Amino acid sequence: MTRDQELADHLTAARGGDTEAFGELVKATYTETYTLAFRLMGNADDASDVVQETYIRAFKALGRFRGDSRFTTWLYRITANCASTHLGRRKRLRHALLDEDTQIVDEAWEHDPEFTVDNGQLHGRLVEALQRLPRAMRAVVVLRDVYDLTHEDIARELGISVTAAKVRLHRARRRLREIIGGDEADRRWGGRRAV
Amino acid sequence: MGVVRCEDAAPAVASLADGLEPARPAQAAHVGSCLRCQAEVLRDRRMSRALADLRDEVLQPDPELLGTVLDAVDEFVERRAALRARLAYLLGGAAATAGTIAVMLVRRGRGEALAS
Repeated sequence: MTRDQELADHLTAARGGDTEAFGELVKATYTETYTLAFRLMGNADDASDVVQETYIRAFKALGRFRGDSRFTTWLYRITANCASTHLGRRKRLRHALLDEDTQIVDEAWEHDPEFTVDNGQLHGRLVEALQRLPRAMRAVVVLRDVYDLTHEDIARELGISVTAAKVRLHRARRRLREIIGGDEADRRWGGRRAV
Repeated sequence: MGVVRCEDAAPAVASLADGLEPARPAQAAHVGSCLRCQAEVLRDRRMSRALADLRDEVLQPDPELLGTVLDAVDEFVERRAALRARLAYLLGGAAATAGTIAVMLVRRGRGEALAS
């Protein structure tokens, strides 16, 4: 039985009120959900809170899951929404979150003697660069490029317009290039991947 | 229609990098005639592909997270069941009260009818 079939079976049982089946869904997906939450929130504590909230919301909304997307995609959308709510709540409390246009200047990158990245290091650089993005930008680029959500879904879950989502996406990709090292990254990726 | 500048074409650049048709024809036309924006589309596409490689990476959470989540779901289920039971009790009580009042009104109506 494939993973998707297993998830579908658990899902059917869970929608019928079987909480143990829902527990199986949690067990099968929580590390992926945590990974997304961590990428959106940037730290383990907030990510754990978001994961918990995500599964409560998913349980409440099981009856509304129509099955027109994969269960994991549906879960990612809920995770994105929870992360957005979580960040909004914290923003109201602290009034100090980075604005999406805040310039991120990390001098450590510029002065790093190993700034010229090896392809093997690219993955690590990319992960670090993502964490340095303003959260609003990071959410859009992670949901689109890593988790393959549509522009429309991203806009809906983050509570922004589709146009705003696209603008943020382009800015986020450009900012990532700037963080990693623009021309150097272009040269390496250009050589590695056909466009 | 005003002149579209490179900075206004960001939505079209993002769409084209993702292989989608831009929503605004004027922006699409700008990108079609602007080498700078076309280069941005290619760079965006490369970045997007590089990021897609992160899809298979899974981070390991605190070992206690699973238990915490399952407990939270159980707690929610119990709270909801208790709430529903209480609601049913209240509705039942309200229905019984309404029934009693209805019976009293009917009896009273009959009494008044007999007296007259």
